Amino acid sequence: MTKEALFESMSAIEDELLEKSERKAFNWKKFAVAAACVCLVTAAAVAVIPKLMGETSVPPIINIEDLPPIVPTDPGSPDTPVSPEEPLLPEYLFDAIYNDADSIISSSFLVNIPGYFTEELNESEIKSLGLVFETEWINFTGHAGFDQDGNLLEVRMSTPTRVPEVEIYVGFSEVFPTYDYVYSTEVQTSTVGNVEVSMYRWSQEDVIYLDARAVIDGVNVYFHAEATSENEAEVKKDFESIIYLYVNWFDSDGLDGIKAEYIPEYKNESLTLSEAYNDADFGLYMPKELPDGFAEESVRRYKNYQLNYLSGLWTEGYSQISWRVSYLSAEDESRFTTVEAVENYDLSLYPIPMAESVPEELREIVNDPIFNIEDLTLDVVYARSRNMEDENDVSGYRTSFDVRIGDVVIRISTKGVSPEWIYNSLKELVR
Amino acid sequence: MTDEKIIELFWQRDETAIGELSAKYGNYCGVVCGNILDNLQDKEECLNDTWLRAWNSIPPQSPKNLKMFLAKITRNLAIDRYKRQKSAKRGRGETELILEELEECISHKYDVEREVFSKEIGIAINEFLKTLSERDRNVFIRRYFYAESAEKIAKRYTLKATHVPVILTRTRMKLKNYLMKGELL
Repeated sequence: MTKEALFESMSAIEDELLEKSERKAFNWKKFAVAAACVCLVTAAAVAVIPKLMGETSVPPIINIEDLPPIVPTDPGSPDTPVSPEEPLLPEYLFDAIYNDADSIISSSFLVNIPGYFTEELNESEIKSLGLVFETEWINFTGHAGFDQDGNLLEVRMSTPTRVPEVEIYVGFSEVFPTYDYVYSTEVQTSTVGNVEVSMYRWSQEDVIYLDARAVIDGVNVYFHAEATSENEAEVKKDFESIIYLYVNWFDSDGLDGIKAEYIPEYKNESLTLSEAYNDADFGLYMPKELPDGFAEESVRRYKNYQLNYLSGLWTEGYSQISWRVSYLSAEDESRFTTVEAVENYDLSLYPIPMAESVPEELREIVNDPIFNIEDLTLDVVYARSRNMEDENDVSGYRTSFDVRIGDVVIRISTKGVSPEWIYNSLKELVR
Repeated sequence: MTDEKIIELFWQRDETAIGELSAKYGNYCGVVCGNILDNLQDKEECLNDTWLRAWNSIPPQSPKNLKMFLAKITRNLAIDRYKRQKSAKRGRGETELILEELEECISHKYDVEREVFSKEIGIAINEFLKTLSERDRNVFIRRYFYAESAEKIAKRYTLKATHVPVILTRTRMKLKNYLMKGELL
């Protein structure tokens, strides 16, 4: 083995280890101290076990009567809607301390949990969380996320703000699934009633990310908004208002009543091509043969609440064939084209960069046109192919388009593969 | 924009995905390839290649960790470029130093029967890393995956600058022993 080969082999280091190395040891100690503070505050009232863990029921940690007054002045009756005319949200509700982060690390998303699915929250579910305010701008909608057994994992909601096109997101989950922030200074928490809230601010280019995390009523709650330098002050007012309202009125018992109505089928299977041919839905639509030299990278049968497909990836060096079969959906209708309408698909009409050469109204169909298999000709496949010379990659044709056969759609994306092979492979499916 | 949304754009073959990817991870990937390549033009081309490679890989792939997925693509492309630089007798800097350090970990006796696939080495490296303390593992990864300088690593983990080379030397020796024990050298 050479030193170069050893250096290259480091690319195999697992993502989890790489991600851990991103964290600055010093800052994470500070973060741990801040987190410990949150725990201490809550532990003073009760041992905190997030209810989402499905363990012992936890009494509320917030003594509403101890909180500073808020209009309306009857916090004991959260079911009473607030009249929009009343000055519901004073501008300065609490002393918000935003910790400026040096950078952020995206943390993993629950959506990657096998079998994860979501259902929209209905109005009574949202109200059961204690959010019954009827104001001119607060109007929560959202969804609940479940695992493949139907256990509630998280709730994500959003509301418009008084700033056009800006929304505030609120989530409840076992973990804080937004971002991990990296600091060079000690994290300070903001006190809202009896609750310590960690608030973060991070900017990249013109986007300012505002985040906050707290344990409210025994549940992890996070808040998120995105602002610009022009509207940051206005967005912060609404952001802080929402945090204040949640700390005061959030009712974690409402989470117990959020149940999945239907658990969708989940499949995520690695197959061989031979096994894939036996798939009842899509097996007939996989390629019968591959060009010489191509090796199987992956063949996958995937089905969840949103996706349902059988796909394959084969490579030879940098050349590749990606083949994906799914059912036709109503959303595909806008991408159908006839062979005569060359402006919908002929790449020779649109030089690179396509963002500049393709008219906006044709972008979707030019990117991913769908042809009926009966209409497909070799000339059409050539029209969907660009012959590229690339010293850093394989030279040859780059081809992509979709084909409809009955009620399925096959998406083809290849690099370094001849249009003749693509054409013959597709026609073979209907012979 | 969230990673989840960006991946969704890729699956929809929406070219704005590349713009979003570049906006969110341009700086990060720029650092990853900049540590390996010292030429600004190479670095920019490497970044463009990274976005193109992501475009060609998603779908069918749907990376669970987009950031690390990009880090690996960028690193591999940067190493490819580095090799071309080297064969054209240009470029030196940090990467050459790293290779010299790694030379300590390898056997100089070439034995064809013991030549192993990089995949096996990759598995062994991961196993080895898990035997280390978190600090030593992180220092090793920052040096030999991200190609960061000892000074930068020291700053990241608030270590003395002189302490980093000591940790690295000790870890390289451990790695050599580990690979030899597994008959991978």
